Amino acid sequence: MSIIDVGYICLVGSLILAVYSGLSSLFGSYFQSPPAQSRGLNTAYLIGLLMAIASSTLVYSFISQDFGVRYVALHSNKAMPFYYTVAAFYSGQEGSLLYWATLLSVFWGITVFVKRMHRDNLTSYANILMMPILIFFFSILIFKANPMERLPMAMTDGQGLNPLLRDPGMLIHPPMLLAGYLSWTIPFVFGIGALISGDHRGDWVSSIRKPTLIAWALQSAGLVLGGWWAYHVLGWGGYWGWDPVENVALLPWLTGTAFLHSIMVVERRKKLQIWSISLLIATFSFSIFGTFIVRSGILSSVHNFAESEVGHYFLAFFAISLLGSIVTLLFTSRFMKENGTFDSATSKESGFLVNNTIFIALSFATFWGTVYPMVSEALGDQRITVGAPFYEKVNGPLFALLLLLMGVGPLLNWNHTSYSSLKQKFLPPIIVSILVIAFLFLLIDSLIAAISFGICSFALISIISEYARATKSRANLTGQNHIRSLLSLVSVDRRKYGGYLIHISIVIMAIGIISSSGFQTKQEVNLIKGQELNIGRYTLTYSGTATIREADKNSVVSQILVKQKGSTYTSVMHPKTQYYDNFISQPTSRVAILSFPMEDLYIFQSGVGDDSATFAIFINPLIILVWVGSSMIIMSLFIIFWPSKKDNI
Amino acid sequence: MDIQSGSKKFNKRLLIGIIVIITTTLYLISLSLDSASAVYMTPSQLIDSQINEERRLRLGGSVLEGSISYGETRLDLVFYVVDEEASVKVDYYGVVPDIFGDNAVVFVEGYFDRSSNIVNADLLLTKHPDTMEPLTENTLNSGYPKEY
Repeated sequence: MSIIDVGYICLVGSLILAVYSGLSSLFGSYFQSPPAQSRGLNTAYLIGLLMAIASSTLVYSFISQDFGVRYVALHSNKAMPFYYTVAAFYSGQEGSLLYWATLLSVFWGITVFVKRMHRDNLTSYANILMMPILIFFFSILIFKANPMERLPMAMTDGQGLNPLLRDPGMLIHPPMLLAGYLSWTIPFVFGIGALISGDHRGDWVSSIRKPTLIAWALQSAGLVLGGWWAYHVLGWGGYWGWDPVENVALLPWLTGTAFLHSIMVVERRKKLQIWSISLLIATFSFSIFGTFIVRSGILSSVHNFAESEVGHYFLAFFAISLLGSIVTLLFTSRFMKENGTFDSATSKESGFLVNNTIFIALSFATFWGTVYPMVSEALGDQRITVGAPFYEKVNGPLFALLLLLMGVGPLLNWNHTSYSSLKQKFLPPIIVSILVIAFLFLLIDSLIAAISFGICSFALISIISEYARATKSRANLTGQNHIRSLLSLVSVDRRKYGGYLIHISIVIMAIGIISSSGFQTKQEVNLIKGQELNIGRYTLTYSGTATIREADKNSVVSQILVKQKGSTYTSVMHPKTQYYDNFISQPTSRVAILSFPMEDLYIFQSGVGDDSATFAIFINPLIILVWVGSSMIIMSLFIIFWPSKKDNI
Repeated sequence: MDIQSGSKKFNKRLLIGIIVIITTTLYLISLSLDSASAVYMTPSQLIDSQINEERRLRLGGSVLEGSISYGETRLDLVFYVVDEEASVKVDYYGVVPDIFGDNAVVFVEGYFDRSSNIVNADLLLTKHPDTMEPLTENTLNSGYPKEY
């Protein structure tokens, strides 16, 4: 018996325990027996532990290069550096499902542990719902996609990791995104649990505040890292292409972000409860849908997609969980106390409602564009595909509206905001943004861009003025100086002022996105050795191409000298194409990027001739703001999460 | 304000705003489905079809082996896209993706010129293999890695 068999035993053990835990919680809740409820919840720790062990045995097999394990032989080889074990772990179907199941088990164990002091019926009900989900994943792993399977005969060396995945971005992007997907399961089981348990007062919201933020954080980080990876590997000069797989990753983020906002209305005004739970159902379903799509390849292929067996089970699971949740919602929602009054258009809750409408519109448009090829084929004879232009036309204006709302929302009061207060608060940002639009229109001669930047400046100014107003009144109240007041303001109400910090980060990102996509310079050229090219403020000289042998690959590397106008300093850029020995038919490029504060010079090597080579050269203005903004989002989340003294869950 | 189930007042301006957002979105979607979409076809479907020369077309298939011929600058190229029954000549200008080559599965987008039976493409995409797993079950079970 080898170590991987221990992992398999743990997997089987987890399945048995999950059945026990679910039944125990069900029994305990039905007959109102606290000991049985406790047993059910305590078992969750054990499941988390066993799954952690199961995953560790697979990691160990990778590290010890046990090519007798089928999965290890398929996804790694001797030449693979140690740190790519992480990527190898999730690179196949079996491994990514194991990762999903393990992380969810561990997260659930932690959630149950955190709530150990105030265990209520709700947690038990959540457990009843969580266990079938885990049972589904454990069963798939054991019966259909077993990562612990052994080969009849061990191989001398493995096949190696897919070249596309051999990149630092790939070490963290997919695991982050998958972690984001699966984390939504926890708010989901609490939300549905609240419906079933009869906790209709909205208290469930406080149980899921942190899990929701964590899920959102992981998912946002996953998306941004995906964009970053695409930018420096795929070579088309951008970071987001509205590809079907990207779209399905975005969908749960859109509905999840809507949920993040609507629960604030539930908490403060006891409104939008049923709506919020519907958003949770959508987010969870989109997450399962996403995992299924990414794992089955159903959307990317032409006509005859190779359907894996696991795909069918996922589809069935998706349908059952969606139908089950909707039926539960229909039957129990009438017990839910709901205050559906929205009698002022200028109140914070109305702002959130409009925010939610836009997010739903975005989700619908993205979903429709993604499934439209299949729908159009089913309804007519023609398969109509939509690409990036569709999403730019539909989602672009909606995102602009969302940015505008980001500036309006913080200035609105709960319940009602009077006209005079609106006028006083909005006049300065409106005047400034009109000036910005006028100035930029004269400068860059593009009305759409000028308006977009104007909206960004409106949002930025109105959020900053909200900080200023609150700081000033706090300083007056406490007698502290302004800097200390600002700091204590953020530390006292982390969710609010940390949240606004996220909004500022998003506006900064938006400025980067508008600049880099709207003002990109692109040139495709074939350069002969020694030839010069002028692009933007750079003079490029192509000095030749060489083939370099590295560990298990050949790299075809071109050298380009870069000189900026008016500068004597010369930089060197090396765009290259790599041919891995085991993946000769799948060359992968490494883009060369030279970053300046104001723009990136970006060179992709497309083909190499005898003494010439073809390149796509891009200049991406202000793209750095995309990465600055996204890093700021993560930092703001740390501020929100930082434990404070009076923090209780 | 107390929680009262049943009393549902909804501000008119808010309602109108929401309806405007929804209808605008639907309008934008229907508009863009006409102007920013392409008809997907395989080579044999294209040969049989009566497609308008002004309708944007997405052609999917694999690159006929040995059919790629580059122009002087390597930026303009012609090749044949084939399926089981038919082949269509494609004229493309631009850089090509990494795994473009003989037998690669490709999608091209552009317009069909009926007089010359050529697709003039401005977009060329390649599809990566569906799975990240390069080996077949049989080669694995034989215990030897496959040579490419």
